[in-house]
Amino acid sequence: MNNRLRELREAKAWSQQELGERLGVSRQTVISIEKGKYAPSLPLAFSIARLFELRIEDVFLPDEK
Amino acid sequence: MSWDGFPQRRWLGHPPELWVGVVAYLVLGVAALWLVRNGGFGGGARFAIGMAPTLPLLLVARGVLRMIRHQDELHRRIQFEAIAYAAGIVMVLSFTLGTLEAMDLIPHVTSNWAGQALILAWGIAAGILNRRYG
Repeated sequence: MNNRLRELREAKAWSQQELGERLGVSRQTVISIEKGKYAPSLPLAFSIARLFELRIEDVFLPDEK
Repeated sequence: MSWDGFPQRRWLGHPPELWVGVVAYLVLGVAALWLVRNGGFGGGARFAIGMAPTLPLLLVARGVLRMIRHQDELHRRIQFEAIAYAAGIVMVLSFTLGTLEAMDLIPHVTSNWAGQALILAWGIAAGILNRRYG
């Protein structure tokens, strides 16, 4: 699953560590989500969307088939 | 509290009771072995002394569970997958050795290896999975 997390984080000038602290997850988890290696759970995806005041589908984009 | 709600009081990234349990197991293990062999104790006492090193292992298990419970979802997933790989490897090895032993194709093998193999396979699998998700 693709996502805009890196773009959104950089727009806020937050480090990966800072974003992780705001979400209550580790820096490694932020890195893994940004690289698309890990798809977060629905609660975490909602937390991310809420943090950036966006809808979940504005942050996470389904893979093209 | 740190990022994942885990207490700040950690030793090498693990809860203190895990290390206390490991050290206590080693000390009690050596002491129990010596006492059982040289202490001159009778049946019940010998058995109780022999079982003593098991108690700190419960502390280790508590530490591991507490560590996993306080990790975030990615790390819990890594640990879960690593334990699944380790359990699978040990299960295959254990059944294979058991079958060969039952057929008298190999001599009797002590079951001590299973716990050590589980920990080793768990550690290796966790390392590989950490790199995959990193």
